[in-house]
Amino acid sequence: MKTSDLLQFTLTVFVRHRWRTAMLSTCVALGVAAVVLLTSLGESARRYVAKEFAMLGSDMLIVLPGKKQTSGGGIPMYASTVRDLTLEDAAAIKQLPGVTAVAPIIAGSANVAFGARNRDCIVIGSTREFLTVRQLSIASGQSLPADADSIGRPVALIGSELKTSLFGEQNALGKMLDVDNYRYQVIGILAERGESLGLDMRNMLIIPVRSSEALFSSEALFRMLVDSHPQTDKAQLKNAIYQLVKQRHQGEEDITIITQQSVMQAFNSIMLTLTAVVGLLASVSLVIAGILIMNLSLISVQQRRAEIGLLKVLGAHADLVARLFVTESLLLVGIAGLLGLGLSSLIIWLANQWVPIITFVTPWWSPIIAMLLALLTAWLFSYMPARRAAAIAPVEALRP
Amino acid sequence: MIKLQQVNKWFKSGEDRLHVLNDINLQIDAGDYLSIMGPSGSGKSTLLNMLGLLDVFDSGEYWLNDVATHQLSEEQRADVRGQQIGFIFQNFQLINRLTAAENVALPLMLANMDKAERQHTVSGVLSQVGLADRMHHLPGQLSGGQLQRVAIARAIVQQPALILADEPTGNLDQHAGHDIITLLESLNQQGQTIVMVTHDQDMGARAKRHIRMVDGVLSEE
Repeated sequence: MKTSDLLQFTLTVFVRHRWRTAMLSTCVALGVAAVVLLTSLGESARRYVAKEFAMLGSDMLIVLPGKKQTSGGGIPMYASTVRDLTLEDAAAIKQLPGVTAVAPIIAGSANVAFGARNRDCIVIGSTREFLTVRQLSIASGQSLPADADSIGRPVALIGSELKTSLFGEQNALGKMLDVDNYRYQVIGILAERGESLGLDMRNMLIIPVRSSEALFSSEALFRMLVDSHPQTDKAQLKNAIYQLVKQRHQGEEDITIITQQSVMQAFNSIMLTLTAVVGLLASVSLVIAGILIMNLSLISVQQRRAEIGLLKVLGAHADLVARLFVTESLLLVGIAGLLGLGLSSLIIWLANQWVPIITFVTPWWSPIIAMLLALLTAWLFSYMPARRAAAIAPVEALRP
Repeated sequence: MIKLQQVNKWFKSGEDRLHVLNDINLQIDAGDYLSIMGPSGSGKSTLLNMLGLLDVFDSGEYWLNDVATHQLSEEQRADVRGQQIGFIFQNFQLINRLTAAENVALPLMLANMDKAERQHTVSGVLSQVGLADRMHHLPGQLSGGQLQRVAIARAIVQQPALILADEPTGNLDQHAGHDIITLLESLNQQGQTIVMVTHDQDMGARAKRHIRMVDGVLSEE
């Protein structure tokens, strides 16, 4: 039988059993759409986070106290060391060629109060360079004083949401805040930025790094952000910082330097694994659709015994009969799969209209994998019913 | 054209073995019109299935147009069925979702004939059986007599060497049955070889040769 005739013959089966066709198509379409949507969700989340990291800029290095030795590929969030990273180390690093800015950070949480209102929030002790490297801007007021790394002035910058929760509609500029046992004057309000790298900038208080030493009773830096010229060789700079700190720390290399690239690589690998896992979970729905295909195909073989017998009487070989049933499944799943791809595209388009913060994208490989998986499932699960149909003896099949 | 030599077939029935075809010897020449009659269970349909290569016998030889069919593989038997044998069944065996023309075209589709040539051939055969105006009707829209005409058209569309008819009038009223037999007679007059199994004495009597089967034993009247 010619392929065109085979397809036409199969289409008559779909029309005749339109409810069965509709139900199976819906099942497969939803399975394919689920695979595409979940992998798209994973990929979109990965891109969103990658974009956030990209905002750090590729010229930035993060210096952390403590040496990462056996912790594997991840980024050390907190490392312990006998020698602290200090503001003096930061000042020395700033002198290295190629370095444009260094933002030392001391961080902790504290209770911030204004009058009767108080909130627990993250307090960052840093310099005005912190705002530059984290791409933060001042909505009203002024930035930290230029001597934030040498004089502990009692001033603070306040995040937009923290400002609203403490001051409401009042003007916060010039007001005094109680932060644990210290008092700080609000000199600036941060522009709306939202969450970045897990820190909610809207609920944050930024004070001079010297002030934070007193607040947290520690001179140890949590980390420092080092910005460099775009032309600077990052590997060389990284090496220079290691050497400098080693020299300053009595020959001990007790810091870890991470770059935007290494952070993104680590995150990418996590997100790709996550995307693969959710994709696999969605594939289960296709396997369920496959089992449905097998059951319905077995019923179909039973219902169409006379037809199978007739085809054999008329000269059809067993492999043609098997091909008829496999083609039927593949064609149905192919059409349903395309419908599923259309459905997922529509949902992604709608999501992009309704959720503008994240750009939802479908990875190029996702529709291909989903379709191949659906077709493979159809082939696998229709093979057994098809072989059963092919094995039917014509004389048996025609018996009323 | 057809030669059966010492053909035997047994069926298992519990512990017993039923001898359904007992040493059958039969020769059918081209252009013959043969009726096989006998009581139920006498082995008529089994013999027809053997002639149509739908079933295999346990011993003996079957020659069809000088081909030793008893030596053929299942695939080769399917090819011979498709090319040389046309079948007519008591319950028509039409596919309900296909139109009359599509049902008739099935053997040609299986033989890879081009669509245009196929349509031309089908149209000619349906005219021959008097159904030119029912080509695009579904089986559900046709009468019993018309359904059997479609089945006959499907049986002759490949111009087979042999037509096997199993109770072709069994599901029809007397008038429609008479028409079908007349159609088979006219095909035979055009040179078509026909072997028909029937219960109906009157219909069987109209064949040129009459075979009687009782308990698997064949005798010619």
